[in-house]
Amino acid sequence: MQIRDEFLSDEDLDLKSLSDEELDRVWTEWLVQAQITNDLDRSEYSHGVFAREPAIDAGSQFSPMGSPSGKKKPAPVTRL
Amino acid sequence: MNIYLRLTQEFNDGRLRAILSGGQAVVLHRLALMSKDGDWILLEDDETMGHILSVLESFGATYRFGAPLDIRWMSGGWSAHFEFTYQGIRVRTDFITRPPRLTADRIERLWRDKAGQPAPFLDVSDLIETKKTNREKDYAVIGELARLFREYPQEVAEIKRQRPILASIPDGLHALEAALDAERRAMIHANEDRLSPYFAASEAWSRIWPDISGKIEGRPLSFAHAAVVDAALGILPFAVQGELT
Repeated sequence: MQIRDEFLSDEDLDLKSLSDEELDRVWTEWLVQAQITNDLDRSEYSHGVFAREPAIDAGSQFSPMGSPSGKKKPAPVTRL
Repeated sequence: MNIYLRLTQEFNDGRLRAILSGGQAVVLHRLALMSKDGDWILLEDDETMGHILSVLESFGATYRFGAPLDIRWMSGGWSAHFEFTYQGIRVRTDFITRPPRLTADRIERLWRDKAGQPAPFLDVSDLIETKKTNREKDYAVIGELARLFREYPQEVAEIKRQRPILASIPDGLHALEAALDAERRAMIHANEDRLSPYFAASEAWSRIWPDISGKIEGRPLSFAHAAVVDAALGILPFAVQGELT
């Protein structure tokens, strides 16, 4: 009996033919391109025992869009 | 180097502490690029928690809503979640020490088998077990992972013994499809039942999380971790009723 349904295309399965360096490169490129969906999945979890982040009231002083008053953000960490 | 591979190596610097799971393990099996987040199974000890937090702090990570990365909660099956930005990529790191559907013996064997590997990731059979979630898309991945079993005939023979529904193969394709659909729905419902106590137990924690989030915003992770632990004590129980696996 042959399994008929396939989730992935032949192109996707071509990862097997890549060198380690090529896989690393396409993997990172895919992640960069996938950033376009960040707004859609901002509150979601892929694994674990939590389903969604609790909503934060945009009008509260603890809005994620800004810092609490008087609190300065540290300089962003840059790892190369 | 890909950030998730780099993180796995740094998490395991000097000692095996973290095994890559989830969608990024699927990549390392060279099956598909399908997930934006990283998932790791961690060794359940204080040194591991401290080392992981230290690595995350070096990347400027912040806590997402979840349990503290502390063995008192992790041993109860909770998960801890963090996020940072690296070269334009939103990096999310999710951690557990008690992967669902893997027995204690299997987890012990996992740590033994992966010893010495700089960037260990879950084997196919263990990865399949962890992907029996309540998300439909994970079952498609299970199907593709199962194709890799063509290389492991002994494992296939063992699976046939454990999967009674495979006895419906002689009844034809439609009967087998119906049995597989029913099995998948049963696994989805089982995972929903597993998660339900955690949702209930974290309700109070979720109500105070916006305040905590505000207090730790912009602060180093070491400060945030202490604040999160302090706030979670007495609010988020260490364990919930029901099975962990």
